[in-house]
Amino acid sequence: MSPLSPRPAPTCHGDATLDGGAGTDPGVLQVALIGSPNAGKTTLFNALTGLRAKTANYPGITVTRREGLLELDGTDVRLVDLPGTYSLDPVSPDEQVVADALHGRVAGIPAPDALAMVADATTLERSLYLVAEVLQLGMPTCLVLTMVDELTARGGALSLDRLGDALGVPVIGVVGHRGIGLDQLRQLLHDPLAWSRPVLAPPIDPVERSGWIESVLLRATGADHLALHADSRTRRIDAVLLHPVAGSLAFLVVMLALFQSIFTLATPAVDWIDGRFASLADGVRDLLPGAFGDLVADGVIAGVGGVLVFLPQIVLLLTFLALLEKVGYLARAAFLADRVMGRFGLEGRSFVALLSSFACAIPGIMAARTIPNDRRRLATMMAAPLMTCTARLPVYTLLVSAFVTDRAVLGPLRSQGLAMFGLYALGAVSGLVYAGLLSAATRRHGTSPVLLEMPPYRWPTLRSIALQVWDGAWSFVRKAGTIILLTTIVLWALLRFPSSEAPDGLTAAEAASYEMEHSVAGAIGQGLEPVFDPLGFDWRANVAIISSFAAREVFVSTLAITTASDSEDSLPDRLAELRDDSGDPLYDGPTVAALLIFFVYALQCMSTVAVLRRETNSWRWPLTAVGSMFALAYVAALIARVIAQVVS
Amino acid sequence: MNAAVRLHVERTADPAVLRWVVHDPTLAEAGDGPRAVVGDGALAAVIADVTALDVSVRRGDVLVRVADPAAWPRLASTVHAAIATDVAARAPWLTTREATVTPSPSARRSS
Repeated sequence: MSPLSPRPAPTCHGDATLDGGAGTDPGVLQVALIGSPNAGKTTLFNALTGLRAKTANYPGITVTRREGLLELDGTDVRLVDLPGTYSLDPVSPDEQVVADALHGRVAGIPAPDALAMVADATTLERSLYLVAEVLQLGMPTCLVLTMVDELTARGGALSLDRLGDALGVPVIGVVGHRGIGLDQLRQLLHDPLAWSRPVLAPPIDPVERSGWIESVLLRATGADHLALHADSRTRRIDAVLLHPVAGSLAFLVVMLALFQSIFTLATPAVDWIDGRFASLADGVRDLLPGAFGDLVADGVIAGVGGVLVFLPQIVLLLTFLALLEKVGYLARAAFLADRVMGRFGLEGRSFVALLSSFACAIPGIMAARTIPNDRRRLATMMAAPLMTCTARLPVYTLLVSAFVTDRAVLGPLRSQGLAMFGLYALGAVSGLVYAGLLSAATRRHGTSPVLLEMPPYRWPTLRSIALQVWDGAWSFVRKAGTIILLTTIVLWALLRFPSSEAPDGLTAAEAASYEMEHSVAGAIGQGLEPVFDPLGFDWRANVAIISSFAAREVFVSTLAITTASDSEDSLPDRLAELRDDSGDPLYDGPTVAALLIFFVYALQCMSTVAVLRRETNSWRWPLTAVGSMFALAYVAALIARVIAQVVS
Repeated sequence: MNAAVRLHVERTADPAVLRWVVHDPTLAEAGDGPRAVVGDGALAAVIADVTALDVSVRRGDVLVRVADPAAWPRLASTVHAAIATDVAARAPWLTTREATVTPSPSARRSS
C-alpha cells in the first residue's frame, strides 16, 4: 500500500452510516457486490437494502466499502457494496479496498462468504475478464447482469441459461432501478452456499483466458461479440459535447446557466423563507419578552434562519450537479478537461473529483482514490478545498446580493450571476494553479496512462435525483440545526455578556451595537483588528470569521446576529447600511471584495482537514493546506482590497 | 502453444461426464459422428494415463467421462490443457472419422 493509500472504512458528510461497518455478526452470511465501475452495483445495493448510497452515471462513484442488512424470509444476509474495479490486481486505492475486502485484510472484518459479481450486460465481453479473475478465487459466486433492458433495446441477445452453463455459476438479469429481476436475486441470495460452482476455474494464462472468454461469449450469444446497435443518441450528443470547441462552449454555457439560475430561480423562494423567519422572530419577541425572547428571536431565529434562507440555492446547485452526474455528462467533461488538467499535474479523473467538491470537498477528496498515480492524487486532494463548496454559497450569495447591483449584462445573464460565476471560476482556477505548483514541487513519480470510460447517456429517474438532492439539502439543514444552532447560541451569549449600559441619546440600533461591541465577542473581534484591519474587516467580520471555523455558513448567521438590532430589513440591506463612527459604510466595495476573496481561499472546514489527514495518512499535507490557504486568503484579500480601492 | 483456443468446460446431467465446448472450425466442419482419439496427441496421452476414461467427439464439443465423478477436480485441468493443445495443433482426432466412441485399446491400459 502506498503512503497515500487511505485507511479503510472512512466516513463522509451525509452517508456515514453507510460506510465501513464491522459486519462481524456471527451467523450472518456476508455477500459482496463486485464488478467494474459504473456496472450498477450501488443501484442494486440500494434496491436490495433500501439504503440510499450515492449513484451516478460515471465510473468511480463508490470508493469505499458499504454494507447493508438484507432480510430474506427469516435469514439475514449482509450485503457489501465494494468500489468498482477492472481487475483484482489493484492499481489505485479504491481498487485496493476491493482486494483487501476480498482477502479479509480489513481489520475486524472477515472476508465475504460469497460474491455477487455485477456486470453491465452491454459490456459483457469486457466484464468477463473480471469474471474470470473472480471465479479464480474459488468462492461461491453468482453473476448479476444489469442493464439487460438496454441490451435488448440495442438489438443484443443473450441466453442467461447458456451463460450460466458456460460459467458454471447462477446468472440473473436485472434492471436495478426498475426492480426487474430483484425477487429472483433475493431468492438466490437466500442461500449463497448452495450456489453451483464452476467445474474448473478459468485459465490464468492471458492467452488461454482470452480463448475462454470468447468461448463463453459465443456460447451465450451465438456470436463472438455482442453486436449491439450503436447508441445513436449518445453518438449524436457526443459529436457536440466531446468536440474540443463546441464541447468547451457547451460546458461554459452549462456552468453560466447554473450560476445565473442560483439567483434568478431561487430568489422568490429565498424571499419567502426570509419573510417567514422575520415574522417568526417578531412573533417570538411579542410572545417571549426579555432575555429568553432575545435569545430565540435574535440568536436562534436570526442565526439559523439567516443560513436556512439559502436552502433554495443549495437545492438548485445540488439538482444541477445530480442531473449532470446521472445523465452521464461528467465523464465527457472529464474527457474534455483531461488535457487542461494535465498541464496542472492532474488528469481527467481529477476533474470529476474536483467537480464533486462543488457540493462538498470531502467526497471530492475521497473520489481522488480512483487516481492510481500518487502525485496526481495528492494534487487533486489538496486542490479540492479550493473548489467552491455549498458552505461558501450562503456567504457569496449574501455579499453579492448586498453589494453587486443587479443589472442585465448579456441576454439572460445578469451581473449578480456573473459575479457568482466569477467567484466559482476563481476558486477553480486557483485550485488548478495550486495543484500545479504542488505537483511540480513533488514531481518524483512516473506517470500512468489515463483511461476514461464514456458511459452511454441515460435519463435518470426523478426519484434518484430527488433522493440525492434531499440527502444534500437535509445535510445542510441538519448542520443548521446542530453546529450552526449551537454556535449561534454561544455567540449570542458572548455578544450579550457582560451586560453594558449604552449611553443616553443613542437610537435603539446604536444602543444594541454599543452593547455588542462591549461584549466578550466584541472584545475578541476588536482584539483581532490589528490582524484584519489591513483588509478593512471590523470587529463583526472578525468574530464572524472566527466563528466560521465551526462551519463556513456560521459567518452569515454571525453577521445576522451582530447586525440584527431592531431592523426589519433583510441581512444584505442591513450590511449595506452599517456605518462607522465617521459615517462611512463599514462594508464598502473594497472591504466586501476582500471578504469574498478571503472566503475563496481560506480553508476553515475542520471536517475537510480531518479527511485530508486520513486520506494522506499524515498531518503534513492537511497542515500545509491550512497554512498555505490561510496565507493565500490573506494576501489575495489584501491585493483585492487595494485594487478595488484604486478602481473605485 | 495454445494460441487463443476458444474453449470452456460445462457440467452435464451426468456428474461423471464433462463437456468441453470447442469453438474451432475444424471441429465444427467435421460434423457429428464418433471419432477415435488416437495417435500422439495430448488428449490421447491423457487417455492412456487414466483408467476408464471415455471420450466422445462431436460437432462443437468433446464429452469426457470418468468412472468416478470425484476424480474430476484432479483431472479436469489436465484434460482441458490436453484438448486445448490438440485443437491448437490440429490433432488428427479432430477430423478423422472412425466408428470408435471409446478410446483405442492402447489407451485402455491401466495407469
